Amino acid sequence: MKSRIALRIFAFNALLVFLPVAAFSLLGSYERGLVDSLEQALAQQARITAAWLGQGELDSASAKRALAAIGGRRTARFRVVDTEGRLLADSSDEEAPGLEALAAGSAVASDGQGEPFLYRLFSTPTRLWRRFFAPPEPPFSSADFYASSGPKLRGVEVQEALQGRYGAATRVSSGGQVSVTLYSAVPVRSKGAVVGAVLVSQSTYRILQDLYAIRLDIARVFLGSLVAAAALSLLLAFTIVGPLKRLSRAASQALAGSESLATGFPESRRSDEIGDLQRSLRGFARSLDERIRQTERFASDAAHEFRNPLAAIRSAAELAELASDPADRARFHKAIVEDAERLRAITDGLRRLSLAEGRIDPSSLVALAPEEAVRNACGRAQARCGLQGRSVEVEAGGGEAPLLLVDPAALDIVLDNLLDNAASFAASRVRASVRAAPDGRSVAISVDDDGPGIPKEHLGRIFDRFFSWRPGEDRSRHTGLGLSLALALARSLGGNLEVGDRPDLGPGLGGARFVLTLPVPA
Amino acid sequence: MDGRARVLVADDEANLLANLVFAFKAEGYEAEGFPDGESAWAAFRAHRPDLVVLDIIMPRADGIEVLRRIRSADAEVPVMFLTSKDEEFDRVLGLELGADDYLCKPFSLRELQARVRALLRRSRLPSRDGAGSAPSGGLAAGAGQAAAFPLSASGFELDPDRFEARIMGSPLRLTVTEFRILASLVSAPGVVKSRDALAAAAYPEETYLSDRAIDCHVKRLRRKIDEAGGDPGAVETVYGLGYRLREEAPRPGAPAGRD
Repeated sequence: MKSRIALRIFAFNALLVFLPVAAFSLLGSYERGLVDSLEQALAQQARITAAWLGQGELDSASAKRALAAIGGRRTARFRVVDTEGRLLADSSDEEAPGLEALAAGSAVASDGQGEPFLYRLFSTPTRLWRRFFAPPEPPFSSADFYASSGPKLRGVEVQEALQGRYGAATRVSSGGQVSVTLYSAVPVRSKGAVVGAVLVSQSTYRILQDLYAIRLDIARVFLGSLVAAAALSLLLAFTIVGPLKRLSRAASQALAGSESLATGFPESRRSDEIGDLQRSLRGFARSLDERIRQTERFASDAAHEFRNPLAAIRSAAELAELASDPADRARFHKAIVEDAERLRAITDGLRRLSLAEGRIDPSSLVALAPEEAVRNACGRAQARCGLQGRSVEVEAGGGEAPLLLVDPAALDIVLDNLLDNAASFAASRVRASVRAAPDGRSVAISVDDDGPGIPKEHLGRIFDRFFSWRPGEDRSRHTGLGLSLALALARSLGGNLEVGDRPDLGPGLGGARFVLTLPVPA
Repeated sequence: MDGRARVLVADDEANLLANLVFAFKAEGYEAEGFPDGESAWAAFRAHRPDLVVLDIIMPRADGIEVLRRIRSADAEVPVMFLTSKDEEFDRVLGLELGADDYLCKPFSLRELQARVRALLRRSRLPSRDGAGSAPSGGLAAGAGQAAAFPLSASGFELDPDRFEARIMGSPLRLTVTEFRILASLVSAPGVVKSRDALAAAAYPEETYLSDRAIDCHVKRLRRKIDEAGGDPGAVETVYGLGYRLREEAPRPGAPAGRD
């Protein structure tokens, strides 16, 4: 599973939400179902009894006989009344006191003090709800209704039955436990006329007793779940929050430390998101370290490049002050100007390089023909050679090539740098040629010269910033930034710049060969 | 040795090289400049100079390679480095390489010439170590030897003319910078010298030097004292102020123990 933390969180929440919902819905419908079936059973028994009583004359003796015949096969209390509501027979007269009490649902009750602490604890919210928020319910009349109503039974259900209909009523049982007593009354018909009624009653105390036991169980389950949830939370804290805290502590300490950033984030073998986070933080810190090292190396290289002309300028300035010969003084002044110019060239080169290492603005991209760009660049290079008094012939070769989508200014800088570099090494000729790759996906522009070529030991450093290998030549004429700049620009154009085949193996002019590869837009 | 000292300079920075050669010639030396290591080494073999000034980064054999070759042929000729990279100091001054001094670019010509004068004087005056090649080494012995060091305190003996230093009788091989720092401390034992004061003593001609550079020199100075059998703690750091030489009665014959 990819996301184990998500699973853990889901399991945790589901547990919390599921329990009470399940408990309430289960208990509510369970209680309704029980009460419904109880009432149906009551009505059924009442009907059977009424049908039996309807077969003969309805009087006290026959009613008592009928109730006695039903005998012990019932749990409800049966009463038979005549049309006036006078009691003809009562099943509780004949039975054992225990059963009577149970059937009446009045005497046996568990008062609140008998409930265990757990039950009282968990029923507190319900009690508070009933007390403050629940809508008021119509007050039940007491189950002692008939006990105090005198010789005539005049409950609403009895009235209904005596008028020939089915009657039912619910009354609160007496006693501490809030149970109710269900009353069902059925008319007794004899030869089409209502001659009396059978009143059956039963307390829901048993149902409540069952529900009470269930509630107690649910309370126990809930308590168990609470303990489990607490354990799960601890586990979550331990496996998620703990490592996260350690990571953030490592992150804040990494900046304070002077050593490498990556050492603050140890290797992680966790396979979940925390492990991923730790790994990516470690990778991030490592590449940041690399960037910092590169920047430091670059700053050190740049400082080195600035110090050389600065040393020359300073010594020339000191000497110019001391020199008595005006010719010497003029020479030192000229040297100062030259070195200042060189500092400017380095500054410009660095600025361009840092720009080239950024991203090229997509809006500056233009479709252009590579052979035309090369032809123009060769013309410019030829003109520069002429200005410098160098007799180098710069020629453009190669044939048709697909259009490129490039920043023309960037491409020109790459070509100018390559051609100038070639011209400065060439004996007499520089040739730039354009060639489309066989698969048509890229265009290669190669720049050849007939100079001494690049010694093998310098191939690895030829694109390094400030690297310049010019034996027998004054180093101060070159910044060593041209090829680095060309490479950086080639890469930002989506292409590459490489040193080409060795001249004795390839079809070059015998000197060095640089190959610029640029992608053809799809 | 004729009257004019021969100085060999190698730097691939053409203007700087020309300036250095001009400056040395103006000072009365016989100076030759070379744009790379190979040609400097060839010139060294053809005619041994009295002093060599080397740039570190040069094409065709860098300064360190040239120094290695020079040391394999000649242990005595003073070699001075010109560096433009801070992190090269330690490599250059590594004792196994045996450079005598260095200056960081851009440097003052006056400072360079002061150091070149110091190095030439040290190499020309007869050494008192006895280990040197000077023939007079065997003559200086007995009671006259201690009196020949005009500056001494806490077991250190210094001769500012010869740029020679000893700790408990063992020679210390110091660069000119280190010698000047130590001389400044030894001349006033127990007195706290600020980094600025030490920088002024070490680079009398320089206008600018960072505080940290003095700390580096002191670190190397202590290492050399330790290697010579002395107590590196003799040069005390006074937090927030600078350094001072611990005032201590010298215990001749036994190296000072560390506290």
